Amino acid sequence: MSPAAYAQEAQSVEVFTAPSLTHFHRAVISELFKKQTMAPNWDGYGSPPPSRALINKAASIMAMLNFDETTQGRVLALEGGGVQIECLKGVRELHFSFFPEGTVEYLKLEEGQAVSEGSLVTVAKMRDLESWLD
Amino acid sequence: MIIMGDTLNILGNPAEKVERSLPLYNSPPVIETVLGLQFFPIEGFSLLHLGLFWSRVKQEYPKYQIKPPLSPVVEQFEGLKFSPQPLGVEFSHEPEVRCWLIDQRENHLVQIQKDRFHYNWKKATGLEVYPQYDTCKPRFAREWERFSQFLTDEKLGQAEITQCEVTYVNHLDMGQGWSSYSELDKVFTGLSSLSDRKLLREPEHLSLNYVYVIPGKKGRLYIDVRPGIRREDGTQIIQLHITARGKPASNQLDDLLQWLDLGHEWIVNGFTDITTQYMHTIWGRKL
Repeated sequence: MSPAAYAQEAQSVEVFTAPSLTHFHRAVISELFKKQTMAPNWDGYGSPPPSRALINKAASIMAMLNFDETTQGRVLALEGGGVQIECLKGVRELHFSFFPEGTVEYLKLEEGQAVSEGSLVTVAKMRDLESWLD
Repeated sequence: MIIMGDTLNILGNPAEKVERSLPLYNSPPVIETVLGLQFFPIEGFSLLHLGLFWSRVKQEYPKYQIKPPLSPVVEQFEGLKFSPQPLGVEFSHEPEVRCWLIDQRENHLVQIQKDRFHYNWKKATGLEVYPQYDTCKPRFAREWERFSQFLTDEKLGQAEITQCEVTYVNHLDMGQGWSSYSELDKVFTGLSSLSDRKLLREPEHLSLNYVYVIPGKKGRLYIDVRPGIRREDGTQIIQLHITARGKPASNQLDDLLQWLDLGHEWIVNGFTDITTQYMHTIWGRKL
């Protein structure tokens, strides 16, 4: 371990870093972390903010995907403590929903119409979907 | 602490007035400082001792977290022989851990493992004012003395210090002096004007690493610059991480503090050297 790497670990304030993040990644991951600061009962129906563990998981997965600068993104909190990431490119949209119990679901849309949906278990499957957006 | 012109009054005690010669900022971007020691593993120190020590300081540090231990890092210099611990194989079923003891407001943290002791001050809400080194140092000294006394009381001997370390973590928030990586020449000295370039203007990622030897082979200064996103609030930042590390003259508290003073001096002067006057104005440089 390099001394610089060691020094990073002696600090306690946590920072998300990755070797290379596009503007899209940085914007989406930044929005993800902001969601954990939402107030409890933010929707008036008793929903908690997304948990730190859920946000960390979603951010780590998003950082592994290869969305380029032309992708637009939006992050929404879901009722019950989940979080949804919407990726848009042209007329196609890909929505990833992360739920507190650990499941991840996707929805493909084209010109606003649902094309297909399902559950995800691997990052490889997410990458297949990501290529559909291109 | 009261700042009176060029004079810094430590803890408000007139008897402890010292002249301030280092740069001083009204609102520096520091988010965390670490004052620490490394030592040879304390023989006989076990997980139970972490709990025993916690019971002594629990009123001040009611929270805790268990973390993986940090590896030893010792500054080596050509021709300077460091005496490592005698090699040997030790069989133990006890997991190696580092314990964080945290105060109620989560501004103060003591990190302990069998060969390390660190005291951290950090911003927890983001609104706290950096208390300055001259406030952190006495607190470090107090906590170290408490731990040393604990070792004596438990008949574990005294720690043989191998390294002292000072770390300052600075967060340069996007929107405060810079808004894209092409503007980082406004933040850091030594970068040519990125915005004037024809082709290579805004990098997707940027990292800077500098290592300097502290004269007299007293240690090294490490500067690490990298972009990141603060997990606490999602703010995009450039993290400027500066660490000074080296071997103190002896195990005596005065010598430990003297080395920490040296490390602090290098960090403050290094921070001022590597950042621009434009940013110094934003941070309210006073000296």
